[in-house]
Amino acid sequence: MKRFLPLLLFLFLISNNLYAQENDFNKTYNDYLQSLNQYRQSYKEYLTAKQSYLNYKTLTSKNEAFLKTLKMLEGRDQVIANYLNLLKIKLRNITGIVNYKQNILYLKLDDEITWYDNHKNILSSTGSLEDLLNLSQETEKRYQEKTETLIYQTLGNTLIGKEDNLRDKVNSLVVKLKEKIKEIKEKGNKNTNLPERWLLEVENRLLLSLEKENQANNLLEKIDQKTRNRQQTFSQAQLLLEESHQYLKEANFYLKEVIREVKNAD
Amino acid sequence: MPIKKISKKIIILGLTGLFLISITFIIFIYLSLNGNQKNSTKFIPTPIPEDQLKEETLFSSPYATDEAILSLEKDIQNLDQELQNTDLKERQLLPPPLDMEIKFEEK
Repeated sequence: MKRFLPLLLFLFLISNNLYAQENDFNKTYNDYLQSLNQYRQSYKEYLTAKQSYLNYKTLTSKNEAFLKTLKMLEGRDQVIANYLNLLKIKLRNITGIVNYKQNILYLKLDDEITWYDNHKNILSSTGSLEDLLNLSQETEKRYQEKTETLIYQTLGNTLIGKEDNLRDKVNSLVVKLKEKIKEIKEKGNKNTNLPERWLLEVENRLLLSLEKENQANNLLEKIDQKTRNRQQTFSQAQLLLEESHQYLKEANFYLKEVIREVKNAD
Repeated sequence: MPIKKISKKIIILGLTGLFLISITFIIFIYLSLNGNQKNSTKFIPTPIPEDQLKEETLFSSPYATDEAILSLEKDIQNLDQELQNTDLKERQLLPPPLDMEIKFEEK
């Protein structure tokens, strides 16, 4: 029993960690949705107050417009901060932040979240509608120049992380199967020519998958401050990743065939 | 002459009879085939998965029950499920729709 204790402890820690990660993501996602709903509500109120102020130009309507705009802008900052936090957790859960690039993205996300939190605090200490509009422009500038770029880079790297994990799994199966086929070949009680040839096909598919992923990665790296349509570039990268995923599916399908061939008599 | 006429009539009658019998026979066959299809339950063979069919028709190698091979097969099947279920769209993670042009001007 004592011999199995470390193993049981290890399994418990792993399952506990996975549960905590999932729980963390769900909680953050709910926070994000809640803030988005609040923003939508406050945005409607802001539109009504704005229209009323533009129609009547009274001090009362101006004050009402100020209050509603403040609430909406605070809500907007909160939505962005919560959304960035969600991306951060997703990136961490999928990639495990194992390389330099992921680490940089993670730190940048932290910086952005801090910026929006601070900006929200500045908003709450503002006393006039004009100041509010100036502060709103700050958010708009920041979002256009920094945040949006970071969002698409993070999304792209999250998807790449998924593909990398899956490719690693296929690779690991290829290695195990190769060893087994080598063993069979040495025993000489089964012809291994066909399985060996098919394993080459599997490796070929893995290479093609990696190639597509690299193309997607190159596109994602091009997304910067100057990119006009970031969403479009991201969608193109996403399409390449889907093609990469298709090659992975094919590789795994070929592995099934290799197994079937090994199980069948010559 | 009358014998020739009689034999002609017999031939014509015979041919007509043969024609009618064959028509009746064709109609009978046609009705029996279609009628049965409408009135009786259609026989549908139980589909056999292609993989199972192939495996059953082929002979097994000494590795058909090998533990390592079976374990690999299971891992490959699990990975197949994972590959099928992987979401590369991640719609829930797309940026939120926000108004980024707040202005107090008449449109």
